[in-house]
Amino acid sequence: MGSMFKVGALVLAGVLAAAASPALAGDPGVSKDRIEVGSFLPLQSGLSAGATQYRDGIDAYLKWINKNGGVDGRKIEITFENDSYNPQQAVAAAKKLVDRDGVFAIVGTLGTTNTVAAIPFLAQRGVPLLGPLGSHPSINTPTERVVFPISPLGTSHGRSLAAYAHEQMGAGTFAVFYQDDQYGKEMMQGVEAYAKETGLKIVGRASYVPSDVDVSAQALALRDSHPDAVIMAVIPKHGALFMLEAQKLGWRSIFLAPQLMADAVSMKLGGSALNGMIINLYAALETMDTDAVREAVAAMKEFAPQTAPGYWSFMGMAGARLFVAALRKIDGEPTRAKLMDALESLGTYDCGVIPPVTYAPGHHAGPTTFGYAKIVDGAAGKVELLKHWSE
Amino acid sequence: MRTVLPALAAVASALTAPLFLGPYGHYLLCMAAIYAMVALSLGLLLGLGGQISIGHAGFWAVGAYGSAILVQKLALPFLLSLLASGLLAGLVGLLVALPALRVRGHYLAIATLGFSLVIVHILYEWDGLTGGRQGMFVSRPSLFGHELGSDFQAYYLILAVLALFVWIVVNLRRSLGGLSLSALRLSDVAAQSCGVNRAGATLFVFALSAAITGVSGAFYGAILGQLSTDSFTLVVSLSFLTMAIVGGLNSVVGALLGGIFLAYAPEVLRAFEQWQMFIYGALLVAFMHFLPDGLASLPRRLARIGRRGDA
Repeated sequence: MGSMFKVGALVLAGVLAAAASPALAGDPGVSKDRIEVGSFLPLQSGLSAGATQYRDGIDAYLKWINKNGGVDGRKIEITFENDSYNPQQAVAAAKKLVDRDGVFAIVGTLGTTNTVAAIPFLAQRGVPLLGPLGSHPSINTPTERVVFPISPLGTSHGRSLAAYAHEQMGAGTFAVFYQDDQYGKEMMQGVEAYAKETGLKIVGRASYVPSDVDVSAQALALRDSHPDAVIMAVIPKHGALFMLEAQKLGWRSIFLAPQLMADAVSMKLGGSALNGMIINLYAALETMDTDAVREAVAAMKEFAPQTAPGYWSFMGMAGARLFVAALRKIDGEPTRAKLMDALESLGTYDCGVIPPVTYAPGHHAGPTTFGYAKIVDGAAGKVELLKHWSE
Repeated sequence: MRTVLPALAAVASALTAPLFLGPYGHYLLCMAAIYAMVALSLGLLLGLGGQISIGHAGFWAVGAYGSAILVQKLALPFLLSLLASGLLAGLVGLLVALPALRVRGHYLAIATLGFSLVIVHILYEWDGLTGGRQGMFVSRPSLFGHELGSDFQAYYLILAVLALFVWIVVNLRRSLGGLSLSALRLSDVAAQSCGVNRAGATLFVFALSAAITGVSGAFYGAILGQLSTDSFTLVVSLSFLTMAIVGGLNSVVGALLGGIFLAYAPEVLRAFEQWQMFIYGALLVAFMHFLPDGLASLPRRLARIGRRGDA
């Protein structure tokens, strides 16, 4: 009897252990002197390197704002939660932040599956989600009013790279090397749409899956299709592998890829094989001479010195900058509804660290314009700005 | 009396716990109950039947997508979709059991893994039906046309179904069929020589285990509100096995504790940030070393230590 009773007590204890978390539903996270916001990120997963920098970007900017007096005298405090890139944990993190911690808004999420899983809950509770970075229609062409995207559509990426190759570099034929998933296929669709409109030809297509460790066959096949330009819808590891293969083959062409290929990981993997690659910019380069970038770099230096300013930290910072910009437009006590109204009144808005987003009633869109840059020395991590998105 | 009191205490705590919790706590309770169903099914397959599976995420996916498609595309009531998803997963379990008639151990593990990968790939590629790489949104659970909009309401439905499964499994363990499975696990030659039908018993235990997992998957999709194939990877299958072993394979209590462990461990460990996985791994090693029979054996172990101290 004794041991069985203990088993029952153990079950009871296990269930009641959960009770250590009283709910504070309905608290919007706004008090007299502070505003509490939250963020959930895959701080432990394959995306953790980017997620850590993304978090540091958000955190550094909000601390910078607090150091300079906050917004209307209120300091902004943020709680970060790890979702391990797991949908169930992402929903749990969102519910914890909203229902237990009582945050006002979610500022910054990273990853597709985890963010998409949490959107129905956030929409149901009317909690604004600013700065989600992922590749899914629910994130980038949202039907839920609470979602305010910061990333361009995959199709816009593909189109922008093809347009640059054709209009600035005179390319008449393309080959596409793409990741066989939503991300890669959307970019491919953008290239296809541009080629169709302009009567240009796609002469080669090759794909990979993220678990691939060798892309030599794809490099060989695309080289033999003799394209004027190669557009790459890739992540750093496979983009670098492809460029190393191209270097081995002595293949000289115009290679174009999204900005991810200019981050520290890509540079380290690809080294000099990346030299000459054209990238489209949807986040600022730390060397850009603008007020926003100077401020972003100073914030990173002061509050996240362990993280180099760059793509990930600026993308994270974008959501935080939009949040602060909208908060400053609110008259009176901030509410979630007023925050969304303020965001929708921004129209086409350039926060300085990413190209302009467009938020209006019924239409929330990430950037549609891009800047361009060239990797001049991959081994040394040197990138040269060719065109700012505002030009 | 020895089992009635603790059982009553467990039931009472399961019924009253939501009253002391907020929506976040309700969600975790739902997840714990959903995971407990999977642990129960694995306890049945591995603990009672002696058959290994590292492909249970596949059965989970069949149930989750099956129910979601029936509700979203065919407007079937949720309760009917639960039943159908259980039957569908059970049927798939029968197919997966076929190799189990010929192979065992590592080979069976690989076969179930292969099945899981194939299922997830089919779901990923079948854009028109499942939303493919974009996944699909799933309606909340409902009961006789009434939507269970909050996790508080949904929890009691999940709990009722879990209780039904517990009742089935407890009775199965005591039945002639359960004894046959135990006999097969201990020595299939001896069991068969006593008249136990090995093929029938193996097919049955695989199908029942898959069916329970399928129903759990149906609840998972409805509670989460969104499905994508990322939720059904090898890592998920392995975490199911971990949960069942940590809880204790040979008892229903173990399954319930395993479910609670899988739902709550990430939440409790979240505060440890980058140390989370390290601590989780260390905990698993500690469990294997100090509690090889799972959390369910903890009172027995403590009692033994207590007796040793008295002596």
